[in-house]
Amino acid sequence: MILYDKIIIGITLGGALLLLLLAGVAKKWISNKWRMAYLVPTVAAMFVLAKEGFEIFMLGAYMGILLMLIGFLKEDAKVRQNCCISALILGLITIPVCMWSPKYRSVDYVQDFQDGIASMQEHYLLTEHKGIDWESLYEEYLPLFQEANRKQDAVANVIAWYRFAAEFRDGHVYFSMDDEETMEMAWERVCGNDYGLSLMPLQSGQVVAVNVEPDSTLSQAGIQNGTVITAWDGRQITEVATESVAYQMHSYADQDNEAFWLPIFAAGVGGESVRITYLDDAGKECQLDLPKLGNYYERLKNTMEIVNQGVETGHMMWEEIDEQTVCLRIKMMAFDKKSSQSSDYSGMQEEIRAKVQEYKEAGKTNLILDLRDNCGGDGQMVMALASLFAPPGEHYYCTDGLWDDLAANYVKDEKTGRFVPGKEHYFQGENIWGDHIAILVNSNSISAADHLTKIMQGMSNVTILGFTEANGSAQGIGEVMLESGTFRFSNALLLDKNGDIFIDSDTNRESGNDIDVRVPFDEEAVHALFDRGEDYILQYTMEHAW
Amino acid sequence: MGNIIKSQFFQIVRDKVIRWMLVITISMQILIILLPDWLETEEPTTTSEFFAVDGGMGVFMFPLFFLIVVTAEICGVDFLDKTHNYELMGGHRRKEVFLGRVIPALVIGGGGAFLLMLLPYGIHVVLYGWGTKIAFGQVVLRWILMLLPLLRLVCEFSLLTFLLKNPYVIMGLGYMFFILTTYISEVIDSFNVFLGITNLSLLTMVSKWMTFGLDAKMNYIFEASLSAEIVWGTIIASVGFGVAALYLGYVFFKHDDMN
Repeated sequence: MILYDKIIIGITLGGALLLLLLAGVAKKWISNKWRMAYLVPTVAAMFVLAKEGFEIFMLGAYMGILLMLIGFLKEDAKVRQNCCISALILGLITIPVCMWSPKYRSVDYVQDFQDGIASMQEHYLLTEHKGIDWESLYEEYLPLFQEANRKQDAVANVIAWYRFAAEFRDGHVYFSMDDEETMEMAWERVCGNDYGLSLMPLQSGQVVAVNVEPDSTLSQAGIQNGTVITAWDGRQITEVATESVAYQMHSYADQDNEAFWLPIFAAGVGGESVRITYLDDAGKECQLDLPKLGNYYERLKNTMEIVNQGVETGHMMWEEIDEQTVCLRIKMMAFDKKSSQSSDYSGMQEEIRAKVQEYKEAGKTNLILDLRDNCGGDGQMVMALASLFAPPGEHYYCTDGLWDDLAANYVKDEKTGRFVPGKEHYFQGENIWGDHIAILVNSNSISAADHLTKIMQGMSNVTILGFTEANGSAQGIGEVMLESGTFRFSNALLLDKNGDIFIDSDTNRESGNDIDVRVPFDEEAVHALFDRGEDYILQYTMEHAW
Repeated sequence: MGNIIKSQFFQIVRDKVIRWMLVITISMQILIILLPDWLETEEPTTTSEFFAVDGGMGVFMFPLFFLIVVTAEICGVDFLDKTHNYELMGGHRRKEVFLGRVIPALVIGGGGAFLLMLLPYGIHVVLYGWGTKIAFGQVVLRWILMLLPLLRLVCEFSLLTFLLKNPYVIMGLGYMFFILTTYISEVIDSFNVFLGITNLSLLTMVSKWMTFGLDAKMNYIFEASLSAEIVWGTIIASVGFGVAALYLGYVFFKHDDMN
């Protein structure tokens, strides 16, 4: 039971007991004003109801509270006592009714889905760009929400939302809720079984074992990080991976990024045991049966963290990597409250200028801007950062869509059906570093991090590196509040110089946010990451970017 | 009863507390509600946008305090000099004595608070026009409906006044209520019809959709039409709770020992 309903029941039971005692006190001992006590439970309950709303299964307690009100109207002690006893009984009955009813405080997940999709259909900007067929999506996902609703299964509701959101191949379409436990349970439910390893594709196209459980059947058979796995339960690994619901819950705007991550999901697919086919040290194909060890979620999460190398560090932290190199970790495109409220990032720029001066004086020549796992934020901060490091002169950022206040929509060209460009944004470069800069990204570098990557692409003093491209989702986000959570999607339009959608991929699934150097995910990378725990991308950058 | 009502109006017109409350509330409606809009906004918003974005809950805070003070003063001040007793001894029925105070409280307290609530919008319209963000008719319906929770609050504070028989205690409680409502979004983050105050919040709440440009300029899409659920919920809750409060107040007053 939720706290506020417990309070109502407390008011009912506590109020009934106290008023029962009061009703027994002879009239001559107390003044008429004491009858006001019979109003108190109703008034208190009204405030609680205003906070949490009406619940049909709490009707017994509500009726009990109203019965106590009769004591205010009738001075007869017997009537008052009977009302209080009835309220007490009703309050007591309400407890098991609420506790044992699966529909108590139930959420209408179907209505939530219908509200969410209706709002999205009205405001989502990329319908044509991404070739969205609303009707077929609705038909496909409605049964999932109906099933979640029938069982009142909050976890199934989260899974349905994630799968629905992933269909858009847009990192800005997502569902979230405050209840992190339910979100975790959703991932645990869909990740499948852990067989002691994860799978990642090498640049060569082979799939290898990674994050292998030490001292297990795998290690006894000689399977270690980097061992090539050729089949999973006798089937192609990529084919198996697409059956994983965990894969279906992940949204990849860019198909290259999806291909990079796809095999990881296969490693959770299977029953009590799976038969893997692998190449032994001599290159001979062997088979091994692996028993289920538990749930795959933790290993999947851990593998992703290791590969993504989103270094656990504070936001806007400077780190000296070696005598020549310094790294600025930018975890989000936000600096402080003052800057975000005023859109004035001159304070941040001053701090960065001072730091750059300090490091230049200390003889540093290489600067790395680490945008891995950068979750995005304010475009103004992107512009402020870009202007510090871009070569001198004017640079183009992007173009707002032209907004029609009367029509309350972005303007489209009637003939071509394309969005009409509005205000173009430019910034002045300073290049305060002077020397070359490397920018590190991963598939979690999204939104404003995508922006910074895009606008610094092709600059003569910049190299962008990563195992994968940045996320490839760049439009502004709007949200619709639902009963079970919040659903967000792209709704603020940004265009490029040609009037095309800025960064976000279309039906071809190419985001247009390419990197200069794709760090090879090879055997060396696997051993560096999973055996030696090194930050491979950073090391590769130091060796190859300058 | 007509004479009691007339005497109440005679008294109200000369009541210093009510006069001062009126002056203070008008000043506050201009200073607190409109001044920030004048100072902070580079380009003044139209009134329809002001209603939807800025003019929500803040607009009825001071009128609410006015409503409480006026209701307490009308229904409670005669308890201090036992006027009720003299009226009863003079041959008036208890029902007449009761309604003779509640009706002026509804008219002056409820009606006055309603007009004071509209004052900032009126000034805004004169200065900046209505605009195109929301259809005028949709807001008018909301305003008309807002009168109902205000009248309900008069009934509820009348009940409280007849229970406690001291206008100044009610004003003190009203002040606490006023403080509570100032922080209402933190205390009761609710939009429903269970309390008069949450019902008013519900009627000022306009669902909006927001987009933005890179330079952070916001573009709003407002949806101000009310659902049948809200319209009928407001009517039923206001009438139901209002009548119940008056009935309870009258029952208490009827059985009350006036000595």
